Amino acid sequence: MKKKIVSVLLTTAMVATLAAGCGSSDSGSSDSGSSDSGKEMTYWSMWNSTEPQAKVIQEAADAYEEETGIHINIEWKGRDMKTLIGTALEAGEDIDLFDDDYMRTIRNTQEYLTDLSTLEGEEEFESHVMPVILDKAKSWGDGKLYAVPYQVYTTGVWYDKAMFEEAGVTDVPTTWDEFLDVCQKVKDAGYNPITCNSDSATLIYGFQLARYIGQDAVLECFNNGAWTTVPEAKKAAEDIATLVEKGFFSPNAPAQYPDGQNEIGFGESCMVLNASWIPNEIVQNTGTEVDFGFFPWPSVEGGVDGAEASMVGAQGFGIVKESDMQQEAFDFATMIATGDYDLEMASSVNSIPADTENTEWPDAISAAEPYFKEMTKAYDWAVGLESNADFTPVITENVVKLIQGNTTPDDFVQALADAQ
Amino acid sequence: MKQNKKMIVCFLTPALLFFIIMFLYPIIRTVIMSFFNVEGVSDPMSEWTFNGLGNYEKLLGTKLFQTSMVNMIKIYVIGGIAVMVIALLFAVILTSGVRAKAFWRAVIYVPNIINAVAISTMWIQYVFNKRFGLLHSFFEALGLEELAKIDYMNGSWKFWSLLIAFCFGSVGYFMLIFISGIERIPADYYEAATIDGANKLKQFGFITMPLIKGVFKTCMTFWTISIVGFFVWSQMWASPMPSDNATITPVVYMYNAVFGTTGSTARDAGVGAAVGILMALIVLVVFGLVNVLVKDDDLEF
Repeated sequence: MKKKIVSVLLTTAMVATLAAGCGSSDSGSSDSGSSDSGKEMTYWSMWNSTEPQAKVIQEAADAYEEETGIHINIEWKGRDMKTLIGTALEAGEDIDLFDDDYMRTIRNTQEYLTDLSTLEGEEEFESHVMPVILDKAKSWGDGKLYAVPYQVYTTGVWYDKAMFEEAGVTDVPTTWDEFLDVCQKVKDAGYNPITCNSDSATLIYGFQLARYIGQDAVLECFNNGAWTTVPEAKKAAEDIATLVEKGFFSPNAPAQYPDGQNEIGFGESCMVLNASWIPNEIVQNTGTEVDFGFFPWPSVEGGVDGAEASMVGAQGFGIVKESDMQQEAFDFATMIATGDYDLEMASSVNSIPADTENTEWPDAISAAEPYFKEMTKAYDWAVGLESNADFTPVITENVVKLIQGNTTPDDFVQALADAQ
Repeated sequence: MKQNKKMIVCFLTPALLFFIIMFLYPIIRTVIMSFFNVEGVSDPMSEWTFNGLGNYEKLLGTKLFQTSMVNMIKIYVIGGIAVMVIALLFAVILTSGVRAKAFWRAVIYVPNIINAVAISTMWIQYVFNKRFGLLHSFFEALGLEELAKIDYMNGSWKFWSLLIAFCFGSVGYFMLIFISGIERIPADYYEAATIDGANKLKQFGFITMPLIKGVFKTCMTFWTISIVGFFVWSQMWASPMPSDNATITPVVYMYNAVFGTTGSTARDAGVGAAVGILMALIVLVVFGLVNVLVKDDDLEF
């Protein structure tokens, strides 16, 4: 009998320690927070600790601690951020700031974020943000800014300058006809004019369609499945089919990422339509130094958009509403998004400096700088063609077929219309 | 006996509590969620709005979900037959007294030890890559230009490249289960059959097959579970896109619906929950069918 009582007691003790185990880890972390340097904040990062972006951020965090005595706990979550952050915020996890794609940060988690205009220095910060990015960010927040954008990107055609020279191309094309001429010259010089990856094939069709009718109309066509009734939808497909017929695409296009873009590094293909991280990726993947040139996707006859419109985006820091260190978190975020750390970030991964006062762009992408200044219209990713997850794979598959030459423009629009 | 009951209660209570909190609560919540409009998976219940069977109707009417179901069924049936036949063949060969049995068994099982992400990267980069891949180089060396040009990662080949790679890794696992089943059969049966003049094929058909019916049931169960939860391979094949017509499966569809994708911030946890419930129902139906069709208790040995 005694034994039984002992075992019952032991069991109870075991359960109790289990429960205690759960509880103590929570209180433990907040305790150590207050005992260290007085203040501490938690930052969930979308980078992995080994990435160059993480190194710059870590440096900034160390400098910030030295300056203010506030220690920043950085949790490197990587790109899983989009699956983690919503649940974490809902559960009241102790997070002061986090980052993710700025569109996702603002649109998915806005209710948990601080309106930055309530913080000190926000006006000053806004003057450092590129207008086209600022407008876009504010448009998602009903005119208020909910994220600190950094690591900006733009999109256009990246090409190997040496090949253009060899082919005798002196001016970059601005219209579709000029573009076809340039392609012919490059082809005559013995290179594949255009290459692409299958994951970004939608960009080509999206851009071409948007050049005709603008992003709003593209989205309207997309959302209503009006592929067969909007004549430009077929016109854009015909233009791409023209490129295919004339043999302007690489015979491997569209290739599995990153084989398509790598063809430029291997000296086989000349141009690729993609975002400004591409030059860095190509150089990293193929180990060759390519001197990259840039031009915006050409305008088309009777079209509404031109060089002033392109896909732009950024990452964005969100400051959590429940945080008791909003101001400090904001100061840290702006420290990374502006000034020296922004410049360091830009040069370490060849990205565009987010701070308008940092006018020195890394060499690899500096060719896009003059165009960025003139840009007034921001397209969404793939001009919105990837904004419906149920439909993106269908459109990707059909654009891939179009570029492979396995479908006609008529069948292409019909297939899109049928799938919706 | 009375004290014993007390002990049972004491030891079971914590486990039961954990089961209820960690399993039962989420299951019930998911079932309810599938009938509501819910945006984020962790949104409080007060924000849910009742939608009846709306989520299910939306799902069944979505082309992409239909595609994902077709893909899953194709993997289940075609892959299932291929894997079971090859695994059984290997199992029979390895139990027939070949030399270095342990070595072959280990070789065939190895793909199961390697992480799925690593092994699919290996397939994508080293075998199917259209510039450096094994198949490309092999056909090129043979001078078969047309075959060397095949793009295994795009278009009509993509699904098959996925299926081949996945089945390659699955064979070893099922082979081991079959081996353990075959080894349980007493050797006397085969001896007696040999004396009676039955050849190997007849022995397989009349002794081995009937006696490992129960093992088949186990294999079917494991296969069903792994195919209904088919996720990593599909994601690897679609990468860096969130999903792809040729390789999307219902679980990938669910993941994208619940968490959104690169280009789309729209999230719908209600639809995601409905996918989960549908998958659970499919598993239950298959279990039921297998139990009705394969009776393993009519033979004793």
